[in-house]
Amino acid sequence: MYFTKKNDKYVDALITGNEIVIKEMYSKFFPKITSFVLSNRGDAQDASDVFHDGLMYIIVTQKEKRKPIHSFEGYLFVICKNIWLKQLKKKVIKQEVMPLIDSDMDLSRFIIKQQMHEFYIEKFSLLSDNCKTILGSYFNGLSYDAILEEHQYASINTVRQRVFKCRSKLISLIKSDDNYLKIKQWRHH
Amino acid sequence: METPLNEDLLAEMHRYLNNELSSEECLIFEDKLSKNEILREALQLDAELSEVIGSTSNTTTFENKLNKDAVKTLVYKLRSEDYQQLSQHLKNAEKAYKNEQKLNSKKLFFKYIPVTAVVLLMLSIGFYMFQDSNSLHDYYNDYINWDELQSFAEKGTSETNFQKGELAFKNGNYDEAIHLFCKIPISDELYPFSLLYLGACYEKTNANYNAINTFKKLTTISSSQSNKGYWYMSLMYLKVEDKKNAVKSLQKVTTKDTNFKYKEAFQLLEAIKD
Repeated sequence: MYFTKKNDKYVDALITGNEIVIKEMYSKFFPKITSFVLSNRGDAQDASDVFHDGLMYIIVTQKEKRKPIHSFEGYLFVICKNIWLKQLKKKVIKQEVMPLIDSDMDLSRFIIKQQMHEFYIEKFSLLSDNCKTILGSYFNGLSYDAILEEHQYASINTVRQRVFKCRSKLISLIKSDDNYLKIKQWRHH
Repeated sequence: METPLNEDLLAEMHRYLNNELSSEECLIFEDKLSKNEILREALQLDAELSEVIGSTSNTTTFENKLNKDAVKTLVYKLRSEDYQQLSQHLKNAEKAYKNEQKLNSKKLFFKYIPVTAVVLLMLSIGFYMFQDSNSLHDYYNDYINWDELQSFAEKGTSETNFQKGELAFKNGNYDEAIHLFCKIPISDELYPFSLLYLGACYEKTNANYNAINTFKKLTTISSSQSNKGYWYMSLMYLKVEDKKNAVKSLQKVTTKDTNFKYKEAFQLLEAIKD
C-alpha cells in the first residue's frame, strides 16, 4: 500500500489544525460534496455539516494511529456520502417530529459503524475473485439453490462446500486481525 | 460440547437469516443458538457482513448492537478541549474559504460586466463618502454564531431542565428557555453552559443588557468556560454600539492565547480601532 505525500499533508493538517492547508482542502473537495448533497435533497448548511463531520471522522480515526489512505479525495467523498445518506434516511423516517439532534452522539455512532464497515470491506477485498463472487451472492441473501443456478455450479453440494470454504477464509482474515477485538468491544454485550 | 460450525450448520444458519425456515425448524435452530456460543458469534458476523457486503444493507444490526459505553466514550472524546479545538480549526478554515469565494465571485462579476462594475463602483464611492467604515453592529453580525454553543441534549430525550432549555432554545422558544435555564443551580456541572445559553436567549429577545450581565457573571465563576464570557460580552457591546466596553472585553480575550476566540479578538480589535 502506498501513502502519498499529498495524503500525508492533508491528514497532518487535520490533526494539527493547520488552517491554511484545511482551507485548501475546502477549495479542492468541498464543491463536489456540496453538489452531491444539493442534488440529494440537502441544502448548503447540510453540505457544510457533512463536510465538517467527514473531516472529523478522518481526524478521529487517524489521530491515534495513522492508516494509509490510497486516494484522499475518493476516501473523503465516500465518508461524506455515507454521512449524508444516513442523515437523509433519518429525515425521511422521522418527518413528523424532528427531535433535538445531539450531533456528537450522532457522529460517534457513525464513526464506530463506518470503522466496522471499512474493516470488513478491507478483509473482503483480500479474498480471491471466485470467493468474492460466491460470497457476494451469499451475503446478498441468495439461497443456495439460487447461487447454484446463478453461478452454474455442478451440484448443491459444491455450493455448500464453496460457501463454507470462502466464508471460513474471510472469517479467519477477520479474526486474525487485532482490530477485530476492538469491533467485539463495540458490540453491545 | 458446542458443535463447531460445519457446512450443514452454516446452511441452516443462512436459511434462518433469510427467513427461509419453517416455524418448527426455527425453534430448533434457536435452541441450538441458545446453547452454542460459536454459532451465536457466527450469526452476528454473518448479519454484519450481510449489511456491509450485501447491496440491501440498512446498517440496523450495527445500529442496534452498538455498545452504549463505547459510544459515550467517543462522545466524551469529541467534546474534549483537544477535539473541540480541532473542530474549531475546520470551522475557521471554512469561514476563510467562504470569504475568499465571495471575493472571487465579486472579481468575476467585475471582470465580465464592466459597465455594471463602473456603476457599482460609483455607487460605492458615493456610499463610502457618507459612511467610511462598517458600523459596530455590522461586526457583531459578522462574528455572532450561537450554533457554536455546545450541545448536551441526547437525541430524543429531554429529561433535565438543561436539556429542555436547550430544546426550547433550538426551537426558538426563548422565554421558555430562559425560565428553564434560570432554574439550574450553581452546583450543577452544566451551570457555566446554562449561563452561555441564558445570555444567548437574552440576546435573541433583544434584552441586550441582561445578556451582558449574564456573560459578565460567567467571567466571575471558576470554570473552563469563563473566558468565553468576555468574547460574548464584547459582541454584545458591539451590538449596542458601546465601543469602549467592547474594546475592554476584547482586550481581556487577548490576554491568553488559549482563550476562546483569541485570534478573532485580535482581528476585531484591529478592525474597530480608529
